[in-house]
Amino acid sequence: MELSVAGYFQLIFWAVFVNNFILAQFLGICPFLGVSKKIESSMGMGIAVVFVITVSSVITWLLYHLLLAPLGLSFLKTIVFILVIAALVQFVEMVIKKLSPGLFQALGIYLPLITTNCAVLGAALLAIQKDFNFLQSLLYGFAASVGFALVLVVFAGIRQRMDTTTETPAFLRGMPVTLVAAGILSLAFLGFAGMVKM
Amino acid sequence: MKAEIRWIVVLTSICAVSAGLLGLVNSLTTAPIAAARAQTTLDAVQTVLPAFDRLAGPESVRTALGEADAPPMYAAFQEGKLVGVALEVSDAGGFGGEVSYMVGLLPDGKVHALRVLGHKETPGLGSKLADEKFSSQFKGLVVPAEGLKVTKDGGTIQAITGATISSRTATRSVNQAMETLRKYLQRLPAAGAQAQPTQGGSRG
Amino acid sequence: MAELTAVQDLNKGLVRENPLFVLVLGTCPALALTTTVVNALGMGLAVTFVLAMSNVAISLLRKVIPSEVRIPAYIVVIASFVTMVDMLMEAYFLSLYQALGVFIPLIVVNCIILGRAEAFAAKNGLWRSLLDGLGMGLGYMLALGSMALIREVLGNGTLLSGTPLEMVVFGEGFKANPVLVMVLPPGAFLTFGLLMVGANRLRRS
Repeated sequence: MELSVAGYFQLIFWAVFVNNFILAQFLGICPFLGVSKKIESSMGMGIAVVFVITVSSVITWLLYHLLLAPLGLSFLKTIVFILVIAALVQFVEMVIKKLSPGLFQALGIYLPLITTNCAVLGAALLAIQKDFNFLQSLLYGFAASVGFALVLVVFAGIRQRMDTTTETPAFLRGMPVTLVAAGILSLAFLGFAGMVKM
Repeated sequence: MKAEIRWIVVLTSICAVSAGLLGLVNSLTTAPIAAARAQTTLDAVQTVLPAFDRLAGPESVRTALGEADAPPMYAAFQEGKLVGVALEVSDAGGFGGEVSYMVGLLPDGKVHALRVLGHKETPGLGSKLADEKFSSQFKGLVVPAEGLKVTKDGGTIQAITGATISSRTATRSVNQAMETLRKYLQRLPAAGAQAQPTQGGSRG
Repeated sequence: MAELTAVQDLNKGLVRENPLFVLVLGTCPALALTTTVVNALGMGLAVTFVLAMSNVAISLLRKVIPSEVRIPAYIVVIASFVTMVDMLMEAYFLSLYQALGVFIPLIVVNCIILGRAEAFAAKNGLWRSLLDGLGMGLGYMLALGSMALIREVLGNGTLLSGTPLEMVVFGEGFKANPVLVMVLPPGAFLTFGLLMVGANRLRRS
């Protein structure tokens, strides 16, 4: 895909808002519902996801275009990508543990959850499907995961208020009201539809 | 140490067996996948053209024209005469991105039919591009020199309610297809020699 | 007694331990692919196939795989079956394959599959693991189907659109102006939330 300089900015806007992973593409719903009770924990998860998706987009792009596609083994991409992601998450965990115990304490518990976050594998597969070049893949991975983190944190803010300041009817408490609130947030993001096309 | 060797042996064997099995399934499905994709395109060609008995695909048309980079065209022949041309056109100006069409045109410059091949438009609004109600408006129209337009732009095509942007992709695509046809129409009958016997088009 | 457990293995996934409404697993495809009943059932079938096959394979390999490396081993097994489904669907059900898109390869990271491998197939025999996989898969398919039923009927005014059996439910007038939001992303969250209310009710009573 060929893009002008403005096109690269459009790509970022598109990935963060228009085609938001959580609210428009439905990728990474499990961590979205699971780790959005508190703003602090959602920030920790968000930063960990941005880091892993950005790095994994780079590695999977290189693997696919330099190894799998030339060898005619593109059908193995799902297996190879998921193994790379699992190994990457392990590696990141070890490095952070060694370099910064403080950061490890903050992010540590979220890292194992990221392997099965479909946003990570989804970002890698979509970048291949859309035929992005190296720079586009990198930007797409970064922007889409920032969009993920943004919605995660915004939604945690909503949930914190919902849990503390309002009286939710008993039959809606827990998951149902969370989903209804997510629906309203998604309605708001629908306003971005069509603003930028890719 | 013994345990580690066992880990490596087990994981390597599982990976090897998987890769082998997948290679096998891949080699078995490559041909059916290509056939299924070709069939989908052929189905689209058949629905947008009048009855024909021979069809020349994009490669044969390019060879006949002597232009390796001519846009993809399917030339349909009935009893040796050119009866219609189907063109694959896409327009990037849709609401959600690119919309691609198969446009069927007649040698006399009229539109026969069009069909949406793929789109990312809003479900329930722009997605109505694929409805018969919208696309049947184009049947039999002569494309004027300035091109077809939706009524909002001073043309004759009734846009889908709430989806003018999506509707414009159809008028633009038909205009683009017609422009391509005008450029090549004189030379297209030459592709007749290479057309393969194919039944179809009666549905249009 | 043996027969009773067999029925239970198959049954529990349908209602009591329904993967979607009770365990809240596999939510991404449940939101993304329930715009039509056909897509939902297609996805449900693909998941059921992968779940049953991977449960069988992992149950057979459970004594061979050392527990320290079991997760990567399971992932490879699951990813292989997913890739097979991916290729077979592209070859024989192309339009469904295109409609389900990236969510087919993403079955790999669907927590239901790894979860059943770890919680059931790794500890039980072949026969029971197969039944467990089938039961969980069908329960998931049922859940997707019920969401899609609501969304397609209200949001598109049709039922089984995309098949020769397509029918218009509330008449052409409704079909021309349906409750559009139901097939858009917000409708997915709302439908899921409201069905969750029902599921919680059922479970409590």
